[in-house]
Amino acid sequence: MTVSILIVDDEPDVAVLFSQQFRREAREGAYVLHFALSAAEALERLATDIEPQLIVILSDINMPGMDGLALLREIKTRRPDLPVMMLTAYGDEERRRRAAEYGAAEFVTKPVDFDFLKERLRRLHAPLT
Amino acid sequence: MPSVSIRARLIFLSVLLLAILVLSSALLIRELARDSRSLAEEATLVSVVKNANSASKHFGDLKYWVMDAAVTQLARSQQAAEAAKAGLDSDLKAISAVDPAFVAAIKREVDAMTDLARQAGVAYSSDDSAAGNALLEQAKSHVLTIDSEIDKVVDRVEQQAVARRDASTRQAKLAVKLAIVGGLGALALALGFTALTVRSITVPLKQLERSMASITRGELDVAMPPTGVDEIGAMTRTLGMLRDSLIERGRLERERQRAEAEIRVARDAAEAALHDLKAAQANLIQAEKMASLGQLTAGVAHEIKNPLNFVNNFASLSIGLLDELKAVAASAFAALDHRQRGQVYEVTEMLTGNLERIAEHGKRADNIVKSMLAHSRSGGGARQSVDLNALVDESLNLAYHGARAQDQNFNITLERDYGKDIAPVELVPQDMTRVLLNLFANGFYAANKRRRATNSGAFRPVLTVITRDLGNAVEVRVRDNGIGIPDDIKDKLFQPFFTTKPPGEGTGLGLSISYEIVTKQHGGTIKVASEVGAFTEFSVSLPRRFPGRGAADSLAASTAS
Repeated sequence: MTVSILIVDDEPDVAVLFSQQFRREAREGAYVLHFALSAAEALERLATDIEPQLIVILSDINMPGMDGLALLREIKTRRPDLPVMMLTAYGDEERRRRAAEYGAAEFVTKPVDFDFLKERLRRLHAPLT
Repeated sequence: MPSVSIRARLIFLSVLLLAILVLSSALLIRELARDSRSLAEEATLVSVVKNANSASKHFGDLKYWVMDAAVTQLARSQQAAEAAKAGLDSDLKAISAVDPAFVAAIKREVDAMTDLARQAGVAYSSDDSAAGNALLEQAKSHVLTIDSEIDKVVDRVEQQAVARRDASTRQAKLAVKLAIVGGLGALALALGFTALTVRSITVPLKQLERSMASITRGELDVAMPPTGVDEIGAMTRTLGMLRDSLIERGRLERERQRAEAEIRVARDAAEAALHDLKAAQANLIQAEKMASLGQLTAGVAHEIKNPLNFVNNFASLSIGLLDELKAVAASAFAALDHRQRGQVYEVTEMLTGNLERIAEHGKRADNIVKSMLAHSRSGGGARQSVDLNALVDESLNLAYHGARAQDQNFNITLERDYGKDIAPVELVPQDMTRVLLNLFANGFYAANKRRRATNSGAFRPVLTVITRDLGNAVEVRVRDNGIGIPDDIKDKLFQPFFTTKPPGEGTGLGLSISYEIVTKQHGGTIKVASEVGAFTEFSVSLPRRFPGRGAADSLAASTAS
């Protein structure tokens, strides 16, 4: 069963990086990757139905406009059961604490260890399959 | 006698002495007068005795010439009797002053005798010898009476004169005694009063003199003599005022000295404060410089980190993609001829190698960026109460074994001089460990560099670690006998990216971060002392309790207060 992942980052190359990293999984039909360049765009996408089923949102924290942590809170009011993983270059205690407080499923520091990330995603995905 | 003035006392004494003199003189005069009177009486009596004797002689003449005249009737006898009568009357007149009754009686007897003798003479002339004789007999009886009376008078007056003389002698002796006793008494009285008066003046004068001498010597707490109403009392009061003014002056002098001392202390304090202020200002400027450099560093790191992540991610991704390409195109490569296959193989290997190098250098850059980001950390670590010596020793062992692991040839003598009984210190252990590791690593590096520079091998690298309890602060000193630090770069030691190590060996951030941790996070100080080719010593001083503000804030606060 194919599931969707929404990746929110203001850097366009993140889409390229993730697409390449998840090329095999995409080819195998495990994941469909969706990208949003801002929190606003992410919330817009969330309002429309994302097909196939959206199982996780990966969001950067430092973004112009609404930042990742605000987005996290917003998502948690709309879809409390939807896991959100925070990806950030700044793994400081304050951000880590607030992310946990707002209900982030994971806190991943950049550069992303993709093996670790894929393992986490498999765990999220496993109960559904 | 201080209740009477000295003048009054002297007047009184003079009057008294005068009175004694007058009284004693009066007494003597009285006695002398009495003596002279009694002498005069005695002289009178003596002349009376002479008169009485003369009277006796004149009477003898009288009775002879009266009898003779009565018998002879001669005019010459009559005249001699008249002359004797006149002498007798003269003597009797003198005696009458002493014994008038006797004189009156004698005169009567003489008159009776002369009358009887005249009658006898009349009888004889009439030749009545019997009647004459009878009358003469009568006259002779009167003569006997008179002789006897005169003798008695002479005796009596002589006795009186003797008695008077004896009385005068006694009186004179008494007067002499009286004069001696009275004189001595008066003298004693005068001496006594004089002594009393002199004493009443000299005793307080002596006391006053002693007090004055003491005050002159500066003994102002001397007891003042009691003050009376007299002149010495006035002098004593004046001296008391002098002493009080001296005491007051002394007190003012002491106050002035104390005030001067206070001013001196205040001035010293102000100078010290100024000095502290200047030091604080210098620290503040340094801290501000470091803080802005740190912020800049962190900002740069933030900006670099994201693109660097892409570099690293895409590099490692590309290595995978290249492997994938080799796998996918393996059959196509197999169809190529030997030379072409060799070229493809060479290019793909070079690409893989390049990508690996990109990834490797990217990781290095990432480490630098991570170190740079440490500048922006706002004391994330928790403050704990820590045994300083344990922390230092742990870090020292860690640094030593780390250095040994990196370089088999590395060796150094570690000297530990830990202060005893250092009470636990509040600090962030991870961060302070980082500081210590930095300092130890630098010390190892410097000492080893000197060892390598000296070819003889006689040089023995030593790192000395000293901890001390300074009361309100603790101190850690890290000293190496390495190459030392030239003066011209001492100022730059704590700047980010300043390093003397070759590229790749040091980031130039170790001391910068250590500076941040010690000053900003712990409110301490870090100082360096060094001599080129001899030693380098870093001293880290940490306050026991730090309110938890930034160094700049606390400096500002101390400047303001």
